[in-house]
Amino acid sequence: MIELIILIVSMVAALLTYEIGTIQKKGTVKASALVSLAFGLPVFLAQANGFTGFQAIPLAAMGASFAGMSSTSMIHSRAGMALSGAVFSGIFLVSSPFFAGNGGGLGISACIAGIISLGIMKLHELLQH
Amino acid sequence: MRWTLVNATGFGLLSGFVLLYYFMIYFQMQGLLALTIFFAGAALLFFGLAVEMKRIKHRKYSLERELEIIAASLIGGLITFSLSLFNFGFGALGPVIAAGIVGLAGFELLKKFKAIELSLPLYAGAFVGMSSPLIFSIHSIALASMVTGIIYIIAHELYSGTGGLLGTMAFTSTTITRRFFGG
Repeated sequence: MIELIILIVSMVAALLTYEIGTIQKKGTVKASALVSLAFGLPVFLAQANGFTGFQAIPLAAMGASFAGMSSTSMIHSRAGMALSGAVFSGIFLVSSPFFAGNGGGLGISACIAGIISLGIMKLHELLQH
Repeated sequence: MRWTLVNATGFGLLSGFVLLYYFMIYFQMQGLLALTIFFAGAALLFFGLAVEMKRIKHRKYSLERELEIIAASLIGGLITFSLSLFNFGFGALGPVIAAGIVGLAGFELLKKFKAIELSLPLYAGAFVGMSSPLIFSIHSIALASMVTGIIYIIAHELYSGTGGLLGTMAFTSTTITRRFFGG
């Protein structure tokens, strides 16, 4: 169940960041920060009131928002961004605990998701032609 | 396409850490299906990296701007790290909210001073500041943040428009700092 929630949260966060930052051109840093706060603050308040077990959601949302910071030259469409968010969720769920505690772990997972998505889209283009 | 020694070093460094992080996932994989997906992902990752090599973007910074980039990264890292540990009476703020606040406030502030480009290294520094206080001291965060600024200067022409690039820079610098200075 948590895997499905992470998948949905990642796709929504990536798409929201892409829409606000890249499509609407409001700034990718602002878009990512807004999305991170939108998912992080409710969970923080829930935890403050004794509701635990949601810690992974804001982390997944923030990591996916990094994937959503991609430019249109990198990810051409919303469908491509949804794919990038989905790939990110997979990497997020299986990432190695070896690097736990290092800053940037979410970002590098988002970068890998972006590069894999770029590879999928380029391969799709090559197969179509 | 213009490749210099600096570009090649930056690309090698970031791509090396991207591959290292991905291949560490191998040890988490169990079962034939998971391994098949893992190796398919690895093939796509190599293919994507080959595409990235052609997406170099030419942009030069002045020495003054380079120092501003390192300063922005340092400020982002230190504020995020301190803010994430800040306790309002019902628990620490945590890294996600701290980085979000630094990113949003920094973006709006730098926009007013017409230095919006610096919001990127500031946000990269904020990712360094998301590191665990159980592993990193404030001194190592300061060092890792400055290293992130230097990597930003070296590699800003690469991985153009790729989401997660700032985090990759932060991860590279925190891993180097942890390895050589013990966190």
